[in-house]
Amino acid sequence: MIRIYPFVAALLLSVSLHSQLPTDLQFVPKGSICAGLNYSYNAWSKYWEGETLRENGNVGTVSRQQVTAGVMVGVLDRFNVIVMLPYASTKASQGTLNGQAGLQDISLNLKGKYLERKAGPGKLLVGGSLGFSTPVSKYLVDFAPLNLGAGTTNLSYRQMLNYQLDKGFFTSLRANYTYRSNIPSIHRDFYFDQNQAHYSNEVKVDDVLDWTAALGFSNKRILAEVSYNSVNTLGGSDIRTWEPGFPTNNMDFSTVIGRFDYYFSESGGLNLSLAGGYTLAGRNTGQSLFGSLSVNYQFPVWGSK
Amino acid sequence: MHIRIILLAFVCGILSFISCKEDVTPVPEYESFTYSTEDADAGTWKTIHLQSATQVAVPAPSDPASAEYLAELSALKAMSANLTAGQQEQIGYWSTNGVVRWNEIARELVAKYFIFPMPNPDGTYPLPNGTKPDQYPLFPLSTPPYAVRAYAYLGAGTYDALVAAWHYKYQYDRKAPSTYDVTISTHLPVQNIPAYPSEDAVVAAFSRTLLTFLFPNEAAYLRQQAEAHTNSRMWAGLNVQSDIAAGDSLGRAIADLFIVRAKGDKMGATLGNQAVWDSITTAQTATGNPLWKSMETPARPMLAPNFGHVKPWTITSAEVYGTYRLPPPPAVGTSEFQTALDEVLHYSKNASKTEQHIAFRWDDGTSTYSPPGHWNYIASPYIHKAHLNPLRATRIFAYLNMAMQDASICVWDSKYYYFYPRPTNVNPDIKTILPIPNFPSYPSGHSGFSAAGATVLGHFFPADAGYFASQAREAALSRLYGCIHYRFDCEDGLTLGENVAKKAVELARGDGGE
Repeated sequence: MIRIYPFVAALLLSVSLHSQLPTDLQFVPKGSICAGLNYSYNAWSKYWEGETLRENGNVGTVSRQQVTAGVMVGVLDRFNVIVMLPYASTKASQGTLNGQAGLQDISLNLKGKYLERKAGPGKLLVGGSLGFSTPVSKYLVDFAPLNLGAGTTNLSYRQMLNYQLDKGFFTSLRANYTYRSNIPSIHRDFYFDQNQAHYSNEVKVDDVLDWTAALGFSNKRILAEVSYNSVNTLGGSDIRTWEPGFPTNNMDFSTVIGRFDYYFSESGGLNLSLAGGYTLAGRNTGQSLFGSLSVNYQFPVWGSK
Repeated sequence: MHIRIILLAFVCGILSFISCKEDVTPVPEYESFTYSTEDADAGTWKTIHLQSATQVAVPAPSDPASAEYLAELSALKAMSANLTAGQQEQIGYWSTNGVVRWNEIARELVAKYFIFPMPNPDGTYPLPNGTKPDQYPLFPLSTPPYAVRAYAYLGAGTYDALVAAWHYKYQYDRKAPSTYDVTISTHLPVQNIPAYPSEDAVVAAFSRTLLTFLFPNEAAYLRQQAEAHTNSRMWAGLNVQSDIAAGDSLGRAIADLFIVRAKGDKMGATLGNQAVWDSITTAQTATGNPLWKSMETPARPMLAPNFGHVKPWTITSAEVYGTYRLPPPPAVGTSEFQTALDEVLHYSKNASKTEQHIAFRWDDGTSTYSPPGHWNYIASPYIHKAHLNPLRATRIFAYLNMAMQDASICVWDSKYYYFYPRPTNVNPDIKTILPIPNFPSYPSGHSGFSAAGATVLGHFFPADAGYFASQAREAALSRLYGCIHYRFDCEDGLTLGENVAKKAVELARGDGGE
């Protein structure tokens, strides 16, 4: 029952919002480390201004590439510590705005499995993960849509529930709450938001709730999953007409994501993960098409297994 | 063991973290104070637009011993005796800072209406229509020219209105109500100046009337603010109803006189129309020079081509076209030009984080109070700290904003006279972190506004003149760091702004207030 999940696929969601926690109940065994690199690409040419879908010739297609390095440490078989650091770059195909590049937010996640129990023709797994992330570079936050990140320090908790048949089919439900700090500075002394003047360089943003429902199949060599994901900012303003977005925007979206992982060995070593998805509906966000590829390698470090 | 440590660290992290999420204060808080000067002679100071302090008459108040006044005193006593939390909050908000608060309200409205229309499906752009202000795109389009004019009318008009108020205060000399009835509860410092007509009512009525003219969709909001302001004076036990009523009438009447000026100052023709844009483009094309053109998609018509013709405050239009028109900038293609262009490209590729943050700090673009608003923001704490009475407070706003408007009129004149291309027009490799203002490059408007603002503030607060000048310089260079201006745009804009502002300083020296 040793299987490494390519955790970096979870970053697909972060493409549009913020660094996410690993979203599954797969664990690196005690004493092992899984190190990985993920490349992701995301692009949109239409975006929702409030609930109105628009194009804007001053940006054209907005794309983002991201490379994330991650390490997942098997502290215990059922408790892993995960650290990830993404480097991102953004670009607008039209207009004069300067694309940005740099390190985004480092994240630390603690993931645990609370329960694994035989139930009917399969088993039930319950787990959760606690995450922390914070910017590691002074990227421009108030530079939508080319900003690298949201500039907030986040704390999040994800609850996960899986039911897996012995034959490999599984279904999974996950829900995550992200508590977001104020943005410490958008580098100006004044902003107008939610119909009010604010004499501060600090911006208060709402928290985010997201959830996922997934169906899939997994065995010792492959994992295939299709998921529906819904991300909801719990308040905020709409993008003003023909204006760039602002950090307080009420950004909501739902995506469908397909993923396929392949493990070259049943006991560690190399694995690959491919994923892709599309934004089905949204508010104050781009209608993105995105894909990613991860390469991970797991190896024992201490103890013996 | 390790898990416990990690979890403990997390819990500590959570606790320290909760404190990172706090409400952001929408507006600055100001303390109340006793006016640093009384200025009993201020009724003789030179007015800006009024013929004299007595152009609008104010009837004599009732005698302090009259039954009528005694009834007002007892009504005031009841009003200020038991205050609700909401009333106390209003007293604290307006306090002794009515002029600064109305300046903030103007800034807020500028930010709200500083938003460019989106294109029509055929690639043209709609313009706001003053006769249908509530239709998209909403009227007004408060770009920096509209904004600075709003600040200038507010400052200059409030100044004239308060010179008139001071005249009648000392002519009639009816004191603060608590002078006549010591049992009235007062909740702010009682100023040692006559209370009739109420200076706060003058400020509220003038500001409300003028801003309603400038921002017609905001009539209800402005009425509510004016009522809160004047009510706060009665809740605070400082003005009886007739003090307020007299101030209100005076403020409104003087606002109407300024609105007459505003209707005739040529601002209405500033944005132009297709025929104006075509004629300017044709004339400029005939020069054979490389020209500015809109970098937006679809191309947006040039912004405010006629702002250079708007009636100035401290100089004449003839001086705008003559004395203050800049000599030509370096010709495109010369080595001087190329050096300046290469410098912009350098910042496009290599601006440091600090330089980028400076560009952001001074951008003052859409949904903000605009560059002149930024200088009002800078001025406000100085005005507050000096404990200036409302007349002296608005006197600074008046000269500050008249100087900035006149400087920007001159800037616009040169912008449309030379129709000089932006760096991005000449070198498409230049990418920006700021949106490119949709008008010609030379000279930089931010630089003109900022040098004018710093020059006037440096006159009123000489100890900080060096600081203001350094801020103006930073504001100017922020446009180079943001890659939307050449260095010579910024340098020449600074010089122009400073030169124009000297005139405002000269007028201030001679108005009787120094």
